[in-house]
Amino acid sequence: MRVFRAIGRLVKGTWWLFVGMVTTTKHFLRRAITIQYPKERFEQWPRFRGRVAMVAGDDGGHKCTACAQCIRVCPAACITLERHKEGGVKGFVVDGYVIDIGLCIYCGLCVEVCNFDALAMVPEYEMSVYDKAELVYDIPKLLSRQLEPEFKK
Amino acid sequence: MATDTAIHTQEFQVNMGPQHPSTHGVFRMVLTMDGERVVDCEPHVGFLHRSMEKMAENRLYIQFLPMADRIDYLSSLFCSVAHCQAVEQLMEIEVPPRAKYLRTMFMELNRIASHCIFFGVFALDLGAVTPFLYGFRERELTMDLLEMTTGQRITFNYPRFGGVAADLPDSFFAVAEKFLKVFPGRITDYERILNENEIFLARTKGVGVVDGARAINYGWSGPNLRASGVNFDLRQNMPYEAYGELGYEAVVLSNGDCYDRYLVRILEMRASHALIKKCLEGLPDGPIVKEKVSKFPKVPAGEVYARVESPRGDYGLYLVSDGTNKPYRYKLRTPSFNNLSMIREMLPGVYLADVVPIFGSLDVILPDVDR
Repeated sequence: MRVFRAIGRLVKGTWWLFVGMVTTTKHFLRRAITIQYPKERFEQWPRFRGRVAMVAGDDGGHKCTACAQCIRVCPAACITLERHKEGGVKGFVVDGYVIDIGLCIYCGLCVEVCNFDALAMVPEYEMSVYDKAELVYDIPKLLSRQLEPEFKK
Repeated sequence: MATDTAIHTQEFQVNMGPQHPSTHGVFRMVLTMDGERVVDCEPHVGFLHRSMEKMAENRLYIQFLPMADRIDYLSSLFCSVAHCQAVEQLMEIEVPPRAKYLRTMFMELNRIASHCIFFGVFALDLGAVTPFLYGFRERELTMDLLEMTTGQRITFNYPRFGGVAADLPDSFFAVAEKFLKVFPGRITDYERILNENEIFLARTKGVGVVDGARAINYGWSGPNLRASGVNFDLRQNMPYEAYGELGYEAVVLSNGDCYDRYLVRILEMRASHALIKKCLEGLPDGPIVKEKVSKFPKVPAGEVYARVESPRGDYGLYLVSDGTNKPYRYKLRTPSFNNLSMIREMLPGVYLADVVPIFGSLDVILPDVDR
C-alpha cells in the first residue's frame, strides 16, 4: 500500500512540476517586459508627480504672489519664501522662492493649494547630483522646465 | 558492546536579522537552537520606528495625509483612507458616491499589488525565483493604473477630506480593461507554478498551524485570521465606502497553516479582481469631492475609531481631537504588529528551515510593525 502511495505521489509531483515547467516555458518565449534603463526609458504618465516646478506666466516670469499657502501646507517644510511689502503695490513682492528638493516628498499638496496656478508637478525623476547644494532650487531653476500641467485640481 | 548512542547537544543562539533578506525589512530574531530545532525565539522590533503617531500630532490634518502613506508603503492607500475616514466622521462629511467608488476601486487595486508582492516574496523565501518576477510584473500593471490617476506609484496621496484628489483620466478605461482581461490568466499561472508544487507543499503544508481561537486571542486579522477558519472581514462584516453596495463575501479557509495563508491571498486576488470589475461597471457620475470642505479643517472635538481592511488585516486609527487643526491623540492599530506578536509562540519546536516560511506567510511589513 505504501508503495502505491509513494508512486502516486511521485507521479503527481512530476505532473505538477511538468505543468509548472510548461507555464514558465510559455513565459520564456514571450517578449521581455523589462527595459534596459539608461538606454531605454519609460514614458511617464502625464500626471506623474516628478518634481515641483514654477509655471511661467505670459511674460516668462513666475506667477507667485507670496501668499505662502504652499509653505503652510508643506509637510516636509522644504519651501522658503522671502517677501516684503512695498508702497503702492498691492500684496507682497517676492524676493526669493526656494524649494529644497532634497527634503521634498513629492506629495503635490503645494500645487493643489496654490490659488494662482504658479506651481506644477513636472514628470522629471532623474535629479541626482554630486553636491547637496545643487538640490536647492531657486526661481530660475524652478522655471527651467515647463510642461503643461495635466494634474488638474 | 553497550554505548551511549545519544548525541549530547548544546543549545546555541542564532541571530536572524536585522539584515537577513527574508525578514522583509529590519527585524531581528534571536533564535535559541537545539541542533536543527528552535527552542526559543526572541523577536526584536523597533528598527524602523519613525514615531508616526507623534508626527501626526504635530502636523495639520492635511499635512499628515502624505505621511500616512508611509506607514505601510505596500498598501499605502489604506492608511490615508483611514485618516480621511476618521476626519470625515468627526466633521460629519458625507462622501459623494463617485468618490466612494473610486476609493474602493483603488484600494482593491492596491490590495492586488500588495498580494502580488506577497506571492513573489513568499516564494522567493522558499527558494523559487520565478514567482518573484511574475508577482512584480503584475504589480507593475496595477501601479500603472494607480500612477495615471494619482500621479505616484507607491505613495499616492490620493484621498482628500470629503472625496478624492483627482478623477479618472480618459486613458484609464482602456488600460483598466486590458488589466482586467489579462489578470485572471496570470493568477492561473501563479496557481500552476506553486499551488501543487511538491517542494512548495512539503515546506508549507502543516507548518505553523494556528487554530481560530488562538488567532483571535492574539488579535490576528486579515488573511491570516481567515486562513484559520474565522469568517471575519471588515468589507463583509462592517462595510465602509462602497463595499456595502457592491457586496463582498470573505474568503475563508480552515487549516491555518502556511499553505492556507498563502492560498487565501491568491483567492483574495480573484475576489479583488471581481470587485474592481463591479466598481468600474457601477461607477456613478457626480462630483469627486464634497463641496466647501476646507483644505485646512478645524476638526470638532471628539473621539473616533476608523478602521479599514488592509491587505494585512484590520487597520485601525483612534483619533482624539480637541477642536484645533491638529490631532490631540493619534493612535494606530496596525495589523502587522498583532500578526507578528505570535511569532514567539509559533516558532519553538519547528526546524530552522521552517522559520522562514512561517515568518513569510504572516506577510508582515516592518514599517507597519514599528510605525
